[in-house]
Amino acid sequence: MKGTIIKEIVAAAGAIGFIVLLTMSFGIIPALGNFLNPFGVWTVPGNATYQDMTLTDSRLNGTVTIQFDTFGIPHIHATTDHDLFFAVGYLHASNRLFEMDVFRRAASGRLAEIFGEGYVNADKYFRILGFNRHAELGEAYMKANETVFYNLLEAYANGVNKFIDAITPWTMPLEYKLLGITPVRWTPYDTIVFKYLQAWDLSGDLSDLDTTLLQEKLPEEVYEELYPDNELGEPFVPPIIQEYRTLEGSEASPLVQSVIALKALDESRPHIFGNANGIGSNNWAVNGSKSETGTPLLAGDPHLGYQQPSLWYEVQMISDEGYNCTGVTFPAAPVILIGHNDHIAWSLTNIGGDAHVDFYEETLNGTHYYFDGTWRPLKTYNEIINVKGGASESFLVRETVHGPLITDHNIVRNLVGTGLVNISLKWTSTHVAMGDNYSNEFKGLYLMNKATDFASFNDGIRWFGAMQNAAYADETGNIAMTVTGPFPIRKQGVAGIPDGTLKGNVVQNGTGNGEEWASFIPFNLLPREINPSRCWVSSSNQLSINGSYPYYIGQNTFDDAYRARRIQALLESKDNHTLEDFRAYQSDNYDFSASQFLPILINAWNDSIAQGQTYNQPVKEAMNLLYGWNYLFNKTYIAPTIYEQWFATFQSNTWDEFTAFDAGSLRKPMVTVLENLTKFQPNSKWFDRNSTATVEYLNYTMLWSLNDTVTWLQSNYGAIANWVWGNHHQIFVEHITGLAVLSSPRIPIDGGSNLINNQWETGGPSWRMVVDLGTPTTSDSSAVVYPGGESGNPMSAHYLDLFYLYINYEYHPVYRSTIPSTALEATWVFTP
Amino acid sequence: MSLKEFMKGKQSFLVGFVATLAAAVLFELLGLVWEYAWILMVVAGFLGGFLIKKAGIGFLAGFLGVIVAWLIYFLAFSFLGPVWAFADVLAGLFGLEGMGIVVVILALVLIGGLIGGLGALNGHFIGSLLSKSEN
Repeated sequence: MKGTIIKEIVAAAGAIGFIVLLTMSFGIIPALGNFLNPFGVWTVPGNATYQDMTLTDSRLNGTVTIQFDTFGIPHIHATTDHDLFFAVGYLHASNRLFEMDVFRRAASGRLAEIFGEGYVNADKYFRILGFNRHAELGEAYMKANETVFYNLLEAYANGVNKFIDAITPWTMPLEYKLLGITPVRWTPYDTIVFKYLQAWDLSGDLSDLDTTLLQEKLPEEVYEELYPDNELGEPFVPPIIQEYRTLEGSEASPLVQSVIALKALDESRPHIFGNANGIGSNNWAVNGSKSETGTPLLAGDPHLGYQQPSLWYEVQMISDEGYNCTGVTFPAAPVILIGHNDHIAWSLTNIGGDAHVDFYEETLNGTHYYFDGTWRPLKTYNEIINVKGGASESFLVRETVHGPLITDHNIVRNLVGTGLVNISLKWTSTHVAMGDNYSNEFKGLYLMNKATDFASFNDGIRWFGAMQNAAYADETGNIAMTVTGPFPIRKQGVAGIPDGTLKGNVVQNGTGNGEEWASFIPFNLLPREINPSRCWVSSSNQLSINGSYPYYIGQNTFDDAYRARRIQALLESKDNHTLEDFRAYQSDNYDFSASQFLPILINAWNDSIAQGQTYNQPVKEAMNLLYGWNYLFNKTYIAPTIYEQWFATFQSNTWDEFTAFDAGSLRKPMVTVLENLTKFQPNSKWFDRNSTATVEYLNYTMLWSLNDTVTWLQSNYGAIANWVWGNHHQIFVEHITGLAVLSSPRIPIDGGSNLINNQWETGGPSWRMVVDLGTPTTSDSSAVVYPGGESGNPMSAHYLDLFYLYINYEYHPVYRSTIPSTALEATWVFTP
Repeated sequence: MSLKEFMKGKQSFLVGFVATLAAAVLFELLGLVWEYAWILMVVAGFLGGFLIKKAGIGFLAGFLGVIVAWLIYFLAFSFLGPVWAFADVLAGLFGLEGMGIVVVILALVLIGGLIGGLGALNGHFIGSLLSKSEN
């Protein structure tokens, strides 16, 4: 009997131990018991396509009909805006719930709760910036002062929660099963906090820190030469706004005109241009005199990092209260960010200027900081981060009047060793109180979605908190480009006089003697052009307006403008553009930068050959390929691989002196600075090789870089046949969990940086849209696509269907009025 | 009838297997509302093992009883959704690209089967102890 007892103890211990083991997760390996039992992960949603469905909810005002076309795009018809937003909430949740959860958790600093220890620093990052704190204030403000819009956010949340509350093993998204968690209900706060995440993604520019360090490390004359105050201007950088207009009238006000004139007189310094390695986008429009149809055409392709499920969720939103808009939403917010309705179309690009974020060096004394003549108590927030599978972490965020002290934790950016201490961060989005003109994107987009003309469009976009260039076109023939967002006007010291030319582009003295924010550039005076005489508008993140504009909106961080120059060339090339042309332009793989630099390299090569210089066979073969190249970054070509590597090497070899200045890790001068030197100053000292006693010039550095390039390519890719661009340039849309099995395949793709088709491996044109404003109510009036699919369910036919259109340069039609029966996949009906 | 007499008279593999199978199907159904219902497979196995005299046969009854119960669910779910295609996707998570069937078998055998088997061993030993205590 004793033996049996011992055996039983062993068996019991074995059973208990085994079960405990199966309830534990190890990194990416989920708890296998929960995961692999029949009701775990195997309750797979059965429908690869959408199926007819009915649903009732007493909170609805009337019947809502949702028709899915064969691309999985929902077309919502509701009687009220309230019901429309409820439906969008349900659609977002039923297709993208986990993605929404990640968005709100990231913004609130709560990722570690579901992903564990590895995300603590990411959470700290956003807790320091304080999106959670500002979103709470924002929600309270909207609830009290913007009741109509708050109620719409609640309707959206109710739609999301309608799905969450009725979730079953068959509708639970896979990611929740993998992580062993369940979704939490949605609130208006979640939508509000998300806006900060997106705005920071676009405008969280820390370049002022680089500028501070560059000014410290580089000799003054060097800094002024390579990072001068003014942009270079044409032909290197065609500004976005070329015929400035205010909103008050067709011309700038007398005051603005006089300031412009005074500034123009003062422009004695050479123009030079900024730097931008950030997110890129294109948008442009032509009016009827440059389109085949005689009506305005508009194109937009925002360039963002790819992810699966996509950042975008496409939808048509119709209500009997004046809503009929088509475009893309973020799965977390129920409004269309880029799209068109029956009257207007618009698309956005980011502004690359450095005006959004300023930094201050604070003077601290224990719990106080010195500002404006007095010691003031630091505001403190005890932030607690709960960690899945680990102990909670708490830490203190300290704030001055300017913002959080980012050096307390060195997570926003590690400044250890730079000499920058006690630095606070001030950002427009968290320093524009709700209710000011720029801080309510939800309200702004709602009004833009329903806008019928330029005036009503402006009534909406003026509420934007993120700085954007908005291309606009309407059914009555107007086109426009308008800059939007809160650009600070600074003053020298708290008692100073507002001065629009102050930049705040280096770390400021925080005691009140530095450049403080006085107000913001009035919306009506922001850079803007309406129906310009050239009959087109475009933006590609380059300099928004030339140096004659009386307010500072950034410098040295704009895009290099090679995309802008290519777009300008294409738009000027003919007067009868079509939507097909616009589609082709969005896929344009012509490298305008290469067209400027490569002829100079070829000349250098020819000169050296004429002087008897010899090269080894691989270098000659590489040069032969560049000789015959048409500047197209096609995936089947070898020349793009050679050029790309050569150009990177050429830049590196030119700016090798930065290492001597201990500035090797800081941002380098703009490519257009290099273009200017290359074309007009071939004997510039910057072409000298720093490591040699002899003096080298442009030709030597270009050819030396070619030798280096071939050596590098042979070493990394082997024989020249392996250098094909598509072998090394492949699109990859990674799932937000990082799991390859849920991601797209890696597929060779055309395009590259500096091109209109600005494809890098994990990002690029995230949405492509072309619209003809002549017939915006018909399905052939617009075509769109994005690299993803509407459904977040990897077993759905709509998980990556649009991705496969996208990589083949295809678009899908936008059904505006009725969906042909052959294109109707399913209908959902929601009733009260 | 004493427990001892019962144990002597009802000790076939089939009885233990059917008992485990029935209990496993029933308990697993709770998975609709409770994510840890799979732990009850140890109870299903226990019931089967309790009825069998030999430890090895008891283990086998619990082991196979739960496997077959789960297999029934898998087959039922395969009519409701693309389970097998999804298994291929899951296989990729474990570095077994395109081998979804292996993941299903591992789920059945290494999780369901072993829980049932271990439960059955416990059932068998407890049954034996109770039987001996009546002597």
